[in-house]
Amino acid sequence: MGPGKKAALSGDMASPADESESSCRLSDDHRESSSSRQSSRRSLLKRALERARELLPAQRPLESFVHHNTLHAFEGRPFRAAVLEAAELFGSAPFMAEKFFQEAYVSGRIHESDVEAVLADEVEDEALLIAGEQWSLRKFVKTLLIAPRVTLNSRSIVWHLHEGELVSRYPAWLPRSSVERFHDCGPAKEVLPGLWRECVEKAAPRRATRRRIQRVQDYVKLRTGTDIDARVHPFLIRWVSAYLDNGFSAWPMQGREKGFFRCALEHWVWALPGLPWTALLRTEARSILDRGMSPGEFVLESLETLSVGDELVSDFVLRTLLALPGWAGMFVQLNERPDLAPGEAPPTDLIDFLAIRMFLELLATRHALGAEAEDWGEFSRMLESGAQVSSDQELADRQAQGLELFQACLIAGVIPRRLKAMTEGELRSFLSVLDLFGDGRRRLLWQLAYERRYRIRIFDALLAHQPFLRERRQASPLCQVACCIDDREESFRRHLEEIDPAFETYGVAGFFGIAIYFESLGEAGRRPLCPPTIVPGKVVKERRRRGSEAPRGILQRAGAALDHRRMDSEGALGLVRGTLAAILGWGVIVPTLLRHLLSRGDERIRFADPDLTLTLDREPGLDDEGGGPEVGLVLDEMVALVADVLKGMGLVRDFAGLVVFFGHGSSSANNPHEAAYNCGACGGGRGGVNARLFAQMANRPAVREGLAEQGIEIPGSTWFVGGYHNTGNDGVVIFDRELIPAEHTSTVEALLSDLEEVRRSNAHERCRRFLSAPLDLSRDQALAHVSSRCEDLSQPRPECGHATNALSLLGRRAWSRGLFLDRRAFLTSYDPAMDSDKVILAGLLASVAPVGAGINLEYYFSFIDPRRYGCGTKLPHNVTGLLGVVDGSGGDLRTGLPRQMVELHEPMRLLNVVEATPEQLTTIMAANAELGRLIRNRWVLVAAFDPKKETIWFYDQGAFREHQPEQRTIPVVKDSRQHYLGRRENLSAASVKAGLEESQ
Amino acid sequence: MSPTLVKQCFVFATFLPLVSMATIAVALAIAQKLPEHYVHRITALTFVAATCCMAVVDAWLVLGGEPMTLHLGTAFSLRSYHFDLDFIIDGLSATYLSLNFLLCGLIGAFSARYLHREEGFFRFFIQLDLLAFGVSLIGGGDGLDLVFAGWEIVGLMSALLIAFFVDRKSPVENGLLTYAYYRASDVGLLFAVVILHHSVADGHISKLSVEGLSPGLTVMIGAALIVGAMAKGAIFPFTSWLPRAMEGPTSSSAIFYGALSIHASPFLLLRVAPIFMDSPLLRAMIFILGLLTVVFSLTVGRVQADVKRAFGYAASGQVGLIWIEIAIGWHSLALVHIVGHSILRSWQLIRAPSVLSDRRRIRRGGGGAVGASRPLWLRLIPESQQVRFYCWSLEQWFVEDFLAEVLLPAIFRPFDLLNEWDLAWSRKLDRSAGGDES
Repeated sequence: MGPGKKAALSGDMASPADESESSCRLSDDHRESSSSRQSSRRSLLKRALERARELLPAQRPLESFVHHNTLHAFEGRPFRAAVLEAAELFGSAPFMAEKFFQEAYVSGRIHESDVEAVLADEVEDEALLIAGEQWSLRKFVKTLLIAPRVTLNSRSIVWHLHEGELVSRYPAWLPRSSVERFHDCGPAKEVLPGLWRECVEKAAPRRATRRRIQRVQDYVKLRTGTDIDARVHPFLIRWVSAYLDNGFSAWPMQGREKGFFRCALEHWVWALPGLPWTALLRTEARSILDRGMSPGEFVLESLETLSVGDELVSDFVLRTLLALPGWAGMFVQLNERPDLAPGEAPPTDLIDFLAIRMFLELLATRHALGAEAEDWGEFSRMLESGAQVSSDQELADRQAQGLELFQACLIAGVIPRRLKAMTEGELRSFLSVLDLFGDGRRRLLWQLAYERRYRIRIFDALLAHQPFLRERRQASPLCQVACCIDDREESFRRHLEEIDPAFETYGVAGFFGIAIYFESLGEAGRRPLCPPTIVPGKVVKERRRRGSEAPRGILQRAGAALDHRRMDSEGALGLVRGTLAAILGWGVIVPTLLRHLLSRGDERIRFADPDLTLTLDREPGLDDEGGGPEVGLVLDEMVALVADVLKGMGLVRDFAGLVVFFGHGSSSANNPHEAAYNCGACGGGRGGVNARLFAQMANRPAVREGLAEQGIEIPGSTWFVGGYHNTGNDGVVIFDRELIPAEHTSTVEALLSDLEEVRRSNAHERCRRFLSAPLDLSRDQALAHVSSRCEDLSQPRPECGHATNALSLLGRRAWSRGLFLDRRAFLTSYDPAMDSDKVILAGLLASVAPVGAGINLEYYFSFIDPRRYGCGTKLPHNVTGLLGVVDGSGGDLRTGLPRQMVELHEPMRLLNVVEATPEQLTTIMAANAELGRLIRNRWVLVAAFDPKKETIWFYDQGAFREHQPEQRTIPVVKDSRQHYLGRRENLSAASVKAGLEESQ
Repeated sequence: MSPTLVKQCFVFATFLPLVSMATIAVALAIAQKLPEHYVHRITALTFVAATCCMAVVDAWLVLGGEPMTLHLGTAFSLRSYHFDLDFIIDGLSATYLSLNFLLCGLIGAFSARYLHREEGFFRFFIQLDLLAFGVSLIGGGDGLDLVFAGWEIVGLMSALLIAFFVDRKSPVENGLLTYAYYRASDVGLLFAVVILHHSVADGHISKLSVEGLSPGLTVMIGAALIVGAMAKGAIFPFTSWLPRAMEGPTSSSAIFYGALSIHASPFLLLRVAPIFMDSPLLRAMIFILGLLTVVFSLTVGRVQADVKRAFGYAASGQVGLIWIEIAIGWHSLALVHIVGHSILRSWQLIRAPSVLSDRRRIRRGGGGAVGASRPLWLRLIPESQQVRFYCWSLEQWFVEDFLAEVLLPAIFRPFDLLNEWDLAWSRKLDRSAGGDES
């Protein structure tokens, strides 16, 4: 997104100079003659579509789900402004409601000092005269924030006036200062109704509100009360989902190669004649086909028919597409990355979808209005300037504004008499303060206070933890373990270090630098195993070692055979097979149940079967015909790749005997969002393959020679091992065990037994978050619990995913080791000592910060608005076209995360703590435009940390400011278990002694 | 095993869900909020006990016990009309009730975890209990009026569970639509009950026979019963509610639309078989309706791109097939088909969210195209006509358009006219009386 984005977002599309205003409403004959106008309209439409492509939800087919910032398109703007703008555009929430924060305030999650600090930063203090009384603005806003006022929409106000206690009782939250004053005036029943009337009158809208008309639907509804969406949407959704179907239905739509517009019209000419709607559909489709119109021409003509002015084209197109954002967005996604389609993606040009949508809207309008529909002059006027609001609406607006003033009066102790006595100027300034600190601003202030508390706690803990680290003696490590930077691996690493201090752990993005497509024997198609921003240029295939086909258990063979019968989630839909299966009901269930049980071992078989090999080396013979990605890597590529990863994580000397790389993924049953639990750095895939490949490469003598030339000397006694950690059931697999040299046998044995312990401990710590797991589970029971969760068909929460993510640490493990971070932190290893020119840091930040932000912000938005940004509850979800889910029997494609995934989340922006100086970070921000924008616009929060000086600088308001510790102590516990045992809530950081003990 | 024990078991099983529902409802009313596991336990206990009771009944019947009826009392009487609480214990009722309790128990167990922390958790279990009760009235009731009561309970619960997610519009709309379809078709059943009472003064299934009924009356009653059975089984042209009904939590879709609710339709036919088995006309009617449903569901079902709607059509196709079996006279096969299909379809619906991972696994070992194989019958349609057929299939043969644009307006027109006439009259009366009022 370039600098042009800002202009595009604010909607002020400059019209080309050669065009005059009056040309907007030219008659048809005129249009023919002015071809320059036509081409300018075309480029307008093109730009409008470009803008829409940016703003539509960018969620990929579910199988390749990757976390991304829901408002990625807005990253060019400051976070606080962008969320408000997006809220306006999508009808969504910008922050949590005030009630949420006020409850957090009462429960102690937000301190009074946080509110005050935020106000000190955000509010220019000034004197405020309210009804003859002096207030400080900050104090007034603070009172305004803390008072648990009610927020009512215009409809509920009426109820609360007549049935509730809005004007019949003094609220319990009345500040002490106003309590006496009001009670002196008399009982509530006598005082409040008068105050209410006065407030509604005084708060009367200062500007005439007008109802916005943005789409054809708004206009038709206003004029006739007919909801044309009710006709257009079910119809359109049927056709668009059938068109986009990636191989679910047995009878696919024909002629899809012609594009949606043409394909659909060719079907519709066959609609039933005779009924009003279908006959209209039939004749109009026929006439467009006869005229041979392209979708672009059709849209341009329709815009002309509707007389949409040049400057409104962009907004009109956007609003029209945003009526069904999910489907429109899927058109864009499949168009951009057809390689991610689970089946064969048909052509998906957004203009096709827009054309069909407009075709149906116009048709439905004509169906609803008859001949009247031809008159669109009124529409274009309303599009420009909105429509008159009804008197009911006007009253409701006034009451909503009145409520704000009413509650403010209660807070400030403005009794009716004093309100009446207010001068015009005084009232105006009071109202403007209320306006300035309206709902959106107050929520923002709360959000800042909410984030501040967590930040202060973490900063204090980090600083207080450092003295413990100073006492730690470094010893040569027995084994080095690299995990993904994923927050779920934080506890895994911590437990590993606690079990044996001779373990040294590293965090590195879980695709380990290997950007590939992977073709598994166990899965259909190929899937990319790399971050979403990379299009892999290589393929690695899984193959069965020659001659190893035969010995398969009879049960496995039976299971495989049953797979082909497909009697379960999508079999038995046809007549013959369906009938047979139905009559033999039990007969089918038993084998499918069996198959279900058999396939449990799937993952284990797939990852650890020594008979499965990977095509690591370049094999030109296996390449696709026609120039697809190449199969395998050549030596130079391997050397470069291994060197990059090792340098990046700061492991270029002091190699231990055994270096283990763990990829990760997650398995769950009956879960369309399964990929969302997998490794984000692997594009929603499972990173085991990458880890295995990495180890294989790093063990090759030729690769090591190449590394030595670059100054990375790996001793001959060091062996690399690839592994896989299932974050769902805490299963751990080690690959290529048979290749490990004999000298390492004892170390490997020790490692394996330690890993057994670690997965138990990790499962145990995770179980405290599951209500269905009692708090007194033993570690074995905990392991059994997590593994049963992942196989349970009825379990919509197989694991918590990234639900608690809040923090990202980038730097040496040496300063975060032994710190209990409650599975909330992304941990990336980086050693400043080996990065004098800060190239590595810049590279790491550029990759880690956006990935972390993507995960964090997707959780944030799905949490604050599960309706618009998230995909609601999982229970009615229905998988459509193998692409995504809709609610129940149809509707828009739901994007974002389901409620069950985000429940535990605390909506905060990701706090990145980087081991660097403020100056270094400033330089990097200046050099990397995209990263700089992300940080400056505050989509992520950044702090610089110097462990030697024990100082933290937090980047705020354009500068790094030194953090002043509030608390200089930190809880010290024997081991993690002691800290979390018996507690379900989010925990503070703690120093864990077990992780710090010196090596024996 | 004595017949008395069997009867006791039967009655106990039938009313147990009602007790369970009342327990939950009362506890909720008192405590406002209950721990979820209480409800879980109550439900488990209910359905395990009910299934055990039914096992006793089943065992008795398998061991050669004669079918019997039992009279529990009379709910109310109105002159010569008695609303009897009579039940019938035979192979049919025992099978259906056993299936009912078994599936409700399994779905209950499933849902306890599936609906964890969901708003409406308690509502769901209350409705599940009531569904089980309604189904047992349909399955075990001897009086057609008692069956009708069960029929209505099931219909209402069905509509309420479709509208489970009350915060969105489409579940509520589709729930209402389904209920409207049900009510339209229920008129048939009610009509049949009334005529039966009128003509033979008896609505007991166990005494149902065509003796004493004139051929014309038989056809009338039979046709009314068939109409009554249509909507619940999503028989053509009532099919389109079924895919629309997939709005609730997956588990409620599974039990209603994969199993109990839709099979109430062929079950009713099996129950009242004596009325139509001797009438070729009625049997032809059932056969044709069944056949139409099969063809409709097959063509429409195979173009659906989403899992749950595809299952909906697959289910209605099978119900159509069961109707055909009943028309032919293969009643035992029909019963086996009902049971088998219920189990299969609810299992499949429960696993509907797995379609992505299943699909991924299918090609184990490589080879084979992604995508279901094209149905064989498609070859019967000439290539040139396939686009037309596709359009008609995706638009559900335009049945809904026909209903919305032709049939419903035609039905409502006279009412609208009456309404206008009525309003005009009342205005007129108002005017003439208005002078005195003011």
